[in-house]
Amino acid sequence: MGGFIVTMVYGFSRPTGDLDVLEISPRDAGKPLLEPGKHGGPLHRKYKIYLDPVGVAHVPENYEDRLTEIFPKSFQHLRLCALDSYDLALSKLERNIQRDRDDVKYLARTVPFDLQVLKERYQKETALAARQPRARGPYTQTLDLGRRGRKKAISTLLTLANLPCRVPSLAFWCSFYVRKLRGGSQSHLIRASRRGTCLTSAGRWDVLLLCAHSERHHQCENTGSSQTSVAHMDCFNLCRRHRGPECHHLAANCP
Amino acid sequence: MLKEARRAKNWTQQDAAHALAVTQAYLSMLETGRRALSKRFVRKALKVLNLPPTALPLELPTGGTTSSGRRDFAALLAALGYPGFAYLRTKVRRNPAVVLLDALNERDLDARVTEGLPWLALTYGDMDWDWLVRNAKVCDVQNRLGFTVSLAREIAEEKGDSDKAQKLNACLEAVERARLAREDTFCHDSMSRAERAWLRAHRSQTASHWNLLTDLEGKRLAYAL
Repeated sequence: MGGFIVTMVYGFSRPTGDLDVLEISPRDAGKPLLEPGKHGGPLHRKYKIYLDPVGVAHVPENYEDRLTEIFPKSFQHLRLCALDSYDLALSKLERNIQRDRDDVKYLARTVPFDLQVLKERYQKETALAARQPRARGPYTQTLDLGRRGRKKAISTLLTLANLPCRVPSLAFWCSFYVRKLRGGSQSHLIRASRRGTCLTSAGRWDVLLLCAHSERHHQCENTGSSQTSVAHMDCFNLCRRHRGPECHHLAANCP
Repeated sequence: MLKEARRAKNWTQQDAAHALAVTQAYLSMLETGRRALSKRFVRKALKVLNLPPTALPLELPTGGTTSSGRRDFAALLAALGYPGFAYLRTKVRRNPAVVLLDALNERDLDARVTEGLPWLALTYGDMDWDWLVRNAKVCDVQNRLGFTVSLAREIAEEKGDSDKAQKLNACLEAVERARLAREDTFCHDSMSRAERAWLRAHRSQTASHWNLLTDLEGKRLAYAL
């Protein structure tokens, strides 16, 4: 994603010194790839270009379905995927600095864009449309907080909480989003913040995790499966550490 | 400058002449200004005597360039050590004051290049500011220069480098007196009317002070972090 894709895939002749990386799959592969390629790493010192992992990306929902492979078969053990041109343009609207606007203008001229598609994706698949007129609004601050770490990202989500905990689908959504967030798909942070049902009135992330745990536990009991997932155990351990009166209350109300 | 650099290395004229492959008599004439310095000799002297790029000759701006010129500014910045373009391999160096003036004189520059301009002012604080301010006024780009130097000063203050901040402040005072009331862009004249209106409402106080339509801010620049 970022300027590298605009340059390499869409041919915009302008310099870029970093390669923005949204996500590396499988997650175990991330560290061995990012360590030598990060800013100040051996590959950066050698080639003067570095990998810049994007903490919380502001990309449209379901972007994964529209990824295209770049430089196919160029590498033996590596596959590089680029964002679709519309997703790329929309991902640049969040930061909205001059170079982003220039990139979007270039893409609009080069692709060229179907305005209807762009408009629809903007309205349906980004959180931008729901925000204040100024692009850099409170929502951006939420995402900026999220960059500091996954734990904070979840916590930030919960500070927005305003719905009662007895929403029937609460536990399901909690489970879903915690699993997704813990799994590393950052686009779900955006999706989660749009979905009010995952927000609780307690404003504590351990509550959310407890709900997730309860829901998982419930499923395990139903299916009779004795296998416990890593996410399940993580939730359980975190809940044990953070358990408070409201957790007990919520646990009783979770399906 | 040539003499100072030679003395800094504790070299006699004979030593320096040998290293530079000229006669001692010719070097003496160059040092006293009785012979003009050729570009080739200057480049060699820079290398041999470890002179800063600010010692390179000051040439007047060449005027606006085409889109192909954009790449050149990236290369020029890279040659001067700008970390943002460190991956570009280029050897042609020019005086940072000349590069800055030439860039400010452009109608349209790549945003990444404009982001590198405050770095020039910040890194080469010993450049010939009088020459730069004088020529910026001639080209009517004093507001652009003022904005660039303001960003550099902000970063210097942020980093606690008071010496640099003071130098930049002296330049700012000189430009301030010639500040233009005309609205301008920061080397981005091709922007649309809608973008101009948006920037008018969302620009920083510094940009507003210099009557520039830009949302560039010192704290957003990578080298300021």
